[in-house]
Formats: sequence, C-alpha cells, structure tokens
Amino acid sequence: MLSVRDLNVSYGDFKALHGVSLEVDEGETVVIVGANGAGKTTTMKSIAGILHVRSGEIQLCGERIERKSPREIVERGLVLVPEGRHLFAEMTVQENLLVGGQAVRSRRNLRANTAAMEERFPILGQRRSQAAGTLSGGEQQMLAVARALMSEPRIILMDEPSIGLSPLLTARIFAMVREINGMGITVVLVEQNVVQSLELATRAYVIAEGRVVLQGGAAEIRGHADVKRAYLGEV
Amino acid sequence: MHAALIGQLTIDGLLVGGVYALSALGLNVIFGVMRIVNLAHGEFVIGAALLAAVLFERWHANLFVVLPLAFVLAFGLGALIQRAFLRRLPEDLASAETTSLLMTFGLSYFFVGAWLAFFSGNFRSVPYLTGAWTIGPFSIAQARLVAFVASGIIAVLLAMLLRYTALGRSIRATSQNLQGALACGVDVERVRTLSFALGTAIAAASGCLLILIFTVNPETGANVTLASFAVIALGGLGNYAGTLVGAAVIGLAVSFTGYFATAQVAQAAPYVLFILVLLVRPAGILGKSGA
Repeated sequence: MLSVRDLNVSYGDFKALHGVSLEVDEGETVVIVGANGAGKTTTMKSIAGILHVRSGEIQLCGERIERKSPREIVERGLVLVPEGRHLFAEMTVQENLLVGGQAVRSRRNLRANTAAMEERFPILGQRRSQAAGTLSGGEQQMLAVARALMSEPRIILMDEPSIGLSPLLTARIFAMVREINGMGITVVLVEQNVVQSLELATRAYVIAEGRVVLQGGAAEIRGHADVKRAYLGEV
Repeated sequence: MHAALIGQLTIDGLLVGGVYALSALGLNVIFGVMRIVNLAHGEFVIGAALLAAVLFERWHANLFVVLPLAFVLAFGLGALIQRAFLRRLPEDLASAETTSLLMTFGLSYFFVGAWLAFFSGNFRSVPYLTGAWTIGPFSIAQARLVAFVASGIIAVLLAMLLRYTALGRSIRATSQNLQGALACGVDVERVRTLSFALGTAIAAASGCLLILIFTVNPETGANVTLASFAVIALGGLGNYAGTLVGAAVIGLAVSFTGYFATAQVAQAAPYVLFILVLLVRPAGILGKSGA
C-alpha cells in the first residue's frame, strides 16, 4: 500500500535520511523505532509531504506522491498525526475536528464523522466547546488522532503518540491504535515505547543515523540482540 | 463643562478608533497567517481613500458604491501580489522574514509612486457628510459616526467569516499552527492568497471610511501603516480582540493630544505610545501575543 524507496532528505547541509526504504501492506501495523534524531520524524513528515524530498520514491497505492503537496496526500487517504500533536490550541475541540475533515473525500460526511468521533472519544464530546489548548495531555492526543481520522484515511501515520503521557494513558493510546487498525485502517507508528509497540505491530523497522539498520516481523525484532541491548535495557 | 469636554474628546477618539481598528484588523489577518509584516498596508488604505475622493469629485459617487468597489479591486490586487511576489519568497530560510519585510517596503514605495501618477500629490478629502448631531452637551460628527458604524459592521462580518466558515477555520488554523494545518491537509497556499487578499480588501474598506474624516495624499500611507502597527503593538500581534482595545487607545490619544497639545503632537502620539508599549509590554496591553 505504501512503498518508500531510497529516500534522501536534507536540512540544509545536514543529510537526515540516507536512502530509507519501507514497505507497508494494507491492514498492517508497522512500527518504526530508533533513538532520538535517528530520522523517524523526518521519514514521517517526508511521506506526508511536509518535508521536501531530495531524491527517492514514495508510492501510495501505486501512485507516486513524493512531489505532491500535503493536501493532495491527505486527499489520497494518507494522514499524519504529527509529533507534539500540533493542535489549534485556541480553537475549540469541535473546530479542530472540522478542520481535520476538510478534505474533499470527507467533507460531505463532516457532521456524521464529528458525531462518530464524539461517540468514540466521549471526552471530546463533553469538551466540544472548550479550547483545545485547555485539554490534558492525554485528551489532546486523542483529539489529534480524532482530527486525523476526520479525513477518512486509509492509512494513518502516528508520530510518538504516547510521548509525555503516563503509563496508564500510554496503555490507552495503544488500545486506541489497535482499535484504529481494527477499523481497517493501515497504521504506521513511530514509538519510544519499544516493547509495547512491538506487541501490537505486525512488522518493525529500526532506524539509526538516517538509515534502516534492521527490519522484520515484530517478534523477530523483539528477539534481536541489538534491539534488546539498545532499546529494551536487556543484556 | 470640563466633564463635557472630556466626554466630547472621548467620543471623537473612540469613533476614529473604530476606523483604526478596521485598518489594523486587515494587517493582523495577514500577519497571523503569513507572518509577513506588510509595510505596504498604508498604501492600500490610501489608494482606496484617493479612489473614493476622485470618484466623489467626478461623479459624486456614493460611499456605498465606492466601498464595495474598492473592496473587490483591492481583493484582486492583494491576490495578485501574493501570487506574483510574496509566494516566491524562500520559505525555509531564517532570512524569510527580513526578505518579506524588504519586499513589502519596496511595494510600499512602488505604490506611493503609482498613486502619485494616478491621483497627483494633491491632498483630497470627501466632504460627503459634514454635519453633526447634537446629543445633550455632545456633538457627534456624522462622518465619524458613519465611519465608526461601517467599520464595526465590516469587523463583525470578518469575525463571522473567521468563526463560522470553513475558510475562516482554515485561516485561524494556519495562523495558530502551520504544521498542524499542513498535517490536516489544509490548502495552505490558497489560505495564504485569500488571507492577503482579504487583508488588502479590508485595508481598502478602511481607506474609504478614513477619507470621510481625514484629508490625505499619496504620501500619507506611511502614517497609516505606522498607526496600524501602533494599534497592533498595543493589542498584541495576531490578537483580534486586542486590536479593538489598541485602536481605542490610539484614537483617544490622538483626540486628547490634538486638543490639549497641538495637531503635530497628536500625529506623533501613536508612535510615542508604540515605542512605550514595545519597551514596557512587548506582548501588548492584554499581555497575550499570537506571534
């Protein structure tokens, strides 16, 4: 469904990605792990069209998208939940959802989709008229995910959805990721919580210094000695 | 008697403040979305003011015809300028703000020249409403009241556009969080073009109202730009409600200094306030900055 081939991205003189390649099949949950600054967020933003790709190919359902605008990519059914949420803090919860649903494909279902999100995340319904910036961290993350779902995506990219959240809330976020995948939406997840994310993933990629250094089935990655040492604190 | 005088100056000041507010709102919409400080803003205000004056001289054109006409023309001109110039500025560079500042500075000079060529350097006004209504001890100039009410109506329409329409939500979303807007698939380029066009059109509308009260020529634009900046500095960049407060303060300052000191001092008043606020409360009187 999503195929990334030999992706190169630079910030000025700094080369952030050196030929990253990924494959994501329909219905999968793929997790990308790696240290801070390894290039995970850069990969996600490049796929979503927010960063300029120097070279390489990104295909979504067989169509090249590496030169498309973020809007065109959302229209094609790929949406990003950015790291740090990037909500519209002074707009209400409901307005945030409405902005999320402006893609042509989802626009005519705006009302129904808003109602569906409020049913799925009751807290968002209760806080409908509250400014998004006044929500708690966990609620904000739910809103960021709900806002992305408003565009009726076929594939959702989530960048560190559990960052800064308590273990309890993190568990809820992971339950939510499972649910979203259960709705038939393909998931690409960037996570610091390596153990938990590998539990719900079908496959995983490990990125270090802008390169894919390891890839495979989630269980296989979980058992890999390097991963144990670097991310799981095991010797 | 003293109380009556203060009341009169307050009324005059607040009525003019309404027009300042409108001009500053236009500037604020543009800044909010594009993070561009538009130094050519006053030229759009003055261009429309001079157009209104000429149409009045030639054909006694009614304000209610001229204002929508200027609005539409300025909207088109704003869209054109954004597409032709501002959009081509490099986006990722740290120098982008400086570059846009230089570009709008250049545009400002270009339009001063263009208005001089079109309208000559004469000072013009529109003696359209010259009477006054008397209410108790106060005299309310018709021109000021009409300008104030019209500014208020346009500001309310703008607020409704921003609050209740999909375009308005996109404009606010892009102002508040560009990365978030991009992630949601908001057509940021379109929002930028429409915001610049809208800001320019609002500037033009305020020009049509300003000329009911003041006499202007093509070189008055810089004063208007600075007064609008003073309003925004007082209210906080990107803060729409603060703009109204800032405009009231500037209007009152001009009105009171004009009476108790001289007209020259009154002209300097907005800038003195501007500098004071930047020194003491850089985020504006309300202490909240959208920047």
